[in-house]
Amino acid sequence: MKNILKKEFMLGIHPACYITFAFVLCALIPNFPMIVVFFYPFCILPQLMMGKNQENNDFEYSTLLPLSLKDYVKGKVVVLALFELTYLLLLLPMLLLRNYVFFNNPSSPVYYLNSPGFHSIITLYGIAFIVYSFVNLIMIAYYFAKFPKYILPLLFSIFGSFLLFILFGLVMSYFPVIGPLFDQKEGIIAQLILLFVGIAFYFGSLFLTTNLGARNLKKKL
Amino acid sequence: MNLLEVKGLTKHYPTFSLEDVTFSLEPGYIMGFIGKNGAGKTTTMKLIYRILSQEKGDVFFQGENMDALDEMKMKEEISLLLGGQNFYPLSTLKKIKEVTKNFYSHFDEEMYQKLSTQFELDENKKFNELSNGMKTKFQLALCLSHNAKLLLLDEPTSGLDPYSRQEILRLFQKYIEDGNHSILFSTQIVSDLESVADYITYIKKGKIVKTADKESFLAAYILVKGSLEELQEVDTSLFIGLQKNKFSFTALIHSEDSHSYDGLLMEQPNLEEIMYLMEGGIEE
Repeated sequence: MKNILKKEFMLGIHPACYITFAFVLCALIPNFPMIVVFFYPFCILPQLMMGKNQENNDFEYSTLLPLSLKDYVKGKVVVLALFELTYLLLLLPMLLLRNYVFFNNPSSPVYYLNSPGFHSIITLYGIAFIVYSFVNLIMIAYYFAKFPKYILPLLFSIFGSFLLFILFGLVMSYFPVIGPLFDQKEGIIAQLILLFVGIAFYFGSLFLTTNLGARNLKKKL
Repeated sequence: MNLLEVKGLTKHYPTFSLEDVTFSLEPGYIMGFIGKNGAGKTTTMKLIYRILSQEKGDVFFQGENMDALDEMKMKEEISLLLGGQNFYPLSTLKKIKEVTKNFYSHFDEEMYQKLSTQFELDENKKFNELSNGMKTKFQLALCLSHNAKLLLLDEPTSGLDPYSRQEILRLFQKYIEDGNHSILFSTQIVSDLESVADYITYIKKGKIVKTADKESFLAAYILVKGSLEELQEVDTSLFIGLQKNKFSFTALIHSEDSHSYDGLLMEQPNLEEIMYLMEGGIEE
């Protein structure tokens, strides 16, 4: 895996992937819905990665190496996961600043501004992990079924993820019990359960994505 | 024991089929794999290297079925060079080499540096800044640097100047000198085969026409020449290929059919003539 990751980072990553991390700063924009900040990784990263793969003839190069199809797919999954997790890690202090320094702090100059949408970071992360696992599964597994074409998998996963986020948003906003439960301090247990379920989904999906992706790629050849 | 044995390899595509490809290669020899463009040379090499999966047939490496071999171990022992590949166009040769060498447990840095100097490769140049010939040289340097027992080279001398071609061919001869290594290389440049190949395998439209040592391959065919009037009088059903012009004809036949053409001029063909007429020749 060390060699595969070295290959990906030295040769395969589009430089703009690193710029994606700058989007965490959007969390500090007043009136910016917190949930939107979670969209950037799955809207930007896969397209850059898959496009770069094609441009580099990465698969043609990799098949010449002592590298199994499964390891090749695993490399892609791990790199995508690393970027997503790094994004979420970098986003956390921004969300904490937003929630507890700027908008909930009476002495903050932007305290008067209404911060729309959810405020519970735990809930947002739980939803994000679930949606990201869906994105990764569709994107990677379907991508290797259509390999090397990636537009359809990209469209399906982005569109599907938006729908999922919207669904979560609607459920949290319009159901009188669920909304407050997942957005207020009183529902901390429910929020933590959602977070752990999301994390379990996410890491489980990485495993499933690798196996499905490798199987689809083998069938394609 | 053969280093490489291909038995009955078959794969079908919508517009092309590889049927029952069978040949073998002993250690310490070079086999030339020739055929027209689109005949199936690259597909065969990809099937041997397990990039593609065959529908029927087996490939044996050092007597072991490749399907049962550990894929990683197999790829350490076999190296494949595919022509016309453009990898990581914006990356430097140094970066590509640094990444590639980590995948091989027996990468010989000294050998790579020696080849890099010999081929005049500038490691700080990006891949897309190289000419096609230099790209091939770089990929060859990588292939030759991890001590693979078998090299599968798809048109390795394509795009090279005559001096570089001779340089590479001498390298091939040196590579197999110890009797443990072999090379299977496909080429359109017949003179390359004539200078280094020990064995020739000819593929046409996905089927192996003949596989033999070079002398036997050449001896298996004869050119028959004569006037157009003589052509009217002979049995053409035994012709493998025929070329006609305003005054005369040249036909390729199997050596064992030569008795049917007593009285006509017969000559030993070279490889290029065999290949040209095998594909049908043309009428001028």
